[in-house]
Amino acid sequence: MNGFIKWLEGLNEKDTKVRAVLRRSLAFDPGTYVPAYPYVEPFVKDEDNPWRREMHYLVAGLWAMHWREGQKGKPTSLGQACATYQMASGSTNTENRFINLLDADPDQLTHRLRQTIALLKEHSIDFDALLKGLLYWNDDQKRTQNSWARDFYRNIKHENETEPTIKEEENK
Amino acid sequence: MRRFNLIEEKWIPVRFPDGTRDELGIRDTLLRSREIAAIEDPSPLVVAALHRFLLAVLYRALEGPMDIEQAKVLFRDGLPGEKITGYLEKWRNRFWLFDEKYPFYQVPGYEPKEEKGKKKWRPWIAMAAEHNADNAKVLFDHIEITGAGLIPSSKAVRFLIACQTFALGGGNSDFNYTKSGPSATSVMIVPLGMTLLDTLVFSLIPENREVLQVDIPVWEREPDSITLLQQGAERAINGLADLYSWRTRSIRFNLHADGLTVGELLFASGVACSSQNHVDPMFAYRIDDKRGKLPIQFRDRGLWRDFDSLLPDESHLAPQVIEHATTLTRSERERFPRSVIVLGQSNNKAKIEYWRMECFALPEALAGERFIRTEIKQLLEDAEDVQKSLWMACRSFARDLLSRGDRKPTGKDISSFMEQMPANSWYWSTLESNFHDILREYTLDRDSDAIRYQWLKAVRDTLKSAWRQHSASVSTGDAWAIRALVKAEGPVLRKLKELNDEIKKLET
Repeated sequence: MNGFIKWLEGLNEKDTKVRAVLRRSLAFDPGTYVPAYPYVEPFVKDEDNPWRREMHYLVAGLWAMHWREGQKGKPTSLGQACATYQMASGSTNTENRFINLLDADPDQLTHRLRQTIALLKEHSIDFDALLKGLLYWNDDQKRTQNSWARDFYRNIKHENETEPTIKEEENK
Repeated sequence: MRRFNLIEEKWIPVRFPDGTRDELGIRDTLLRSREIAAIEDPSPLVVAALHRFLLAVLYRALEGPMDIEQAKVLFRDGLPGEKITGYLEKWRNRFWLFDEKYPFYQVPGYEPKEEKGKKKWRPWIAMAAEHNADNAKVLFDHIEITGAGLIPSSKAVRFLIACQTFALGGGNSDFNYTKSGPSATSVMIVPLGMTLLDTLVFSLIPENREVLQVDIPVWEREPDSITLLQQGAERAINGLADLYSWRTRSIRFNLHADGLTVGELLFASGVACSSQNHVDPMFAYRIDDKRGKLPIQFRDRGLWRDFDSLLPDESHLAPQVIEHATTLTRSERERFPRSVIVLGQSNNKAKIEYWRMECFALPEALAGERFIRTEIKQLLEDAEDVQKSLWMACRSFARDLLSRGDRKPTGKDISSFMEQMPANSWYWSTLESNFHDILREYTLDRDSDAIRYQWLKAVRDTLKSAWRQHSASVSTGDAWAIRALVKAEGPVLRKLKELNDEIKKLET
């Protein structure tokens, strides 16, 4: 997993076709678009783990979709990028979209991620971290979802909520 | 027909230092108090009432103590046997549980009403808070209201004394409306000595000569007349012996034909107390902004969270018995009470919610000059303050989970949701055991900063675990639950950081 994005960046420098192929792969179920095989397959070590393989294809596609020439800024996690976007836009749509993403089951994940990444085209995203999170998406403890949510809410300025006053009788 | 004299018959349940148990009469209990470890009964109400009863006997038998010097002599030399024996002998006729003229603590001449040609007695459970009665139900008590059976006289007298101390008001009776006993609703505090002798002397607060002369316990009085009781008798408290033997209810036992047991009784209102603001030496007080000085009562929250109110300071709101015990043991520190028991019942509109006995280690450092109350109050305030952050986090979680976006849940919904969250109650119950450890740490030479350091670490770890447990239980929920969780954790994380800083300061 480590170095996957670096590997794609390397391929991209040598061959402009890479991004086009990977972008195209997003139209198919992850791991089913044969032309993308040469770029991703060397990185999928565990052949018995289909989820791992699919997530590599998905992230590769998303990376290609998001790639911009000369994009600057330190790559941030998805949660953080969403938070920044939400604060800039001022609408609560991003939060709702983000909540939907967190609730996504494996079938919905590709579509929702694609929408979210499309929204964040101006933001530099840490795709290595994204891949890492996705690999553990189905974990029983929902560690990824929790950590993404934490990234989002810790980076968002809380609404102007007054903190509840504590009443003695309630404070049991 | 005289039966069951309380002076010799066995009815006071005691435990000896070797663990053996027995029941003794008044005389043996008092004369052998140095050999007895404690009075023990399954019912906290009985334990509290028996202590008060024995103290009332002592005030009369010893005609004192009138000042601290006399109290110190008692503490040094023990209870004077001849005085006690002499007194009990003098009033022997008033300690018969069954007697035509002076049945102990009962109302002679109180006759049952006749209904359909039958005399209407009530089962003995009417006076026992611990058992189902016709107007009170107790969970896990399987005594049948209509078939309560018979109880031995020894048990009957214990319930009788507890009932006179703890009967709650409300409801009509044969005579009048009933009122609570003057001390029925507050928490009673008894510092425990190594022996019953010490325990009794600790609670034997000096009473001045004038008060002592008019301080007459119930058994020395002529029984209140039925007419007076029917009209609704009311009077003021004359002194501690009077208070400790107050006739809260008019009771008369119906001795069973076997001459040993009681199955039925008569039960009606007794004498109401007109004294306002009387001070009970076994009570701890607090100052209420509106209503002034009020005794501490059992509440929903554990009494340990108000533990500082049991410790003496210049405000003199602490139980006099603790102050007295501390004064007496100043010159004999090895006899300092190691623990204190807290007994009583919690009531809501004349219904008993629960009865309870709690035992705390009494900080040994009280015997020194330090202001332990202030220090312990600080610890308890620390815990309250930290819990506020947990409470806020829980509230925020509840609100966000219920709102799921834009909906605004009502305060009531949020509160009921919070009630089923275990975090807060877990926090308090875990800290309670830590608090008992801390109390034992309060020795004379222990530095207060070191204790606070230990306490803050316990508070921090408890907060951390409480939140971790809550997180673990909801972090696998849907995205709304996760959202609510991560949005809520701010106050907890901030408080943890604060605590860490504070702990670090104390470390250096």
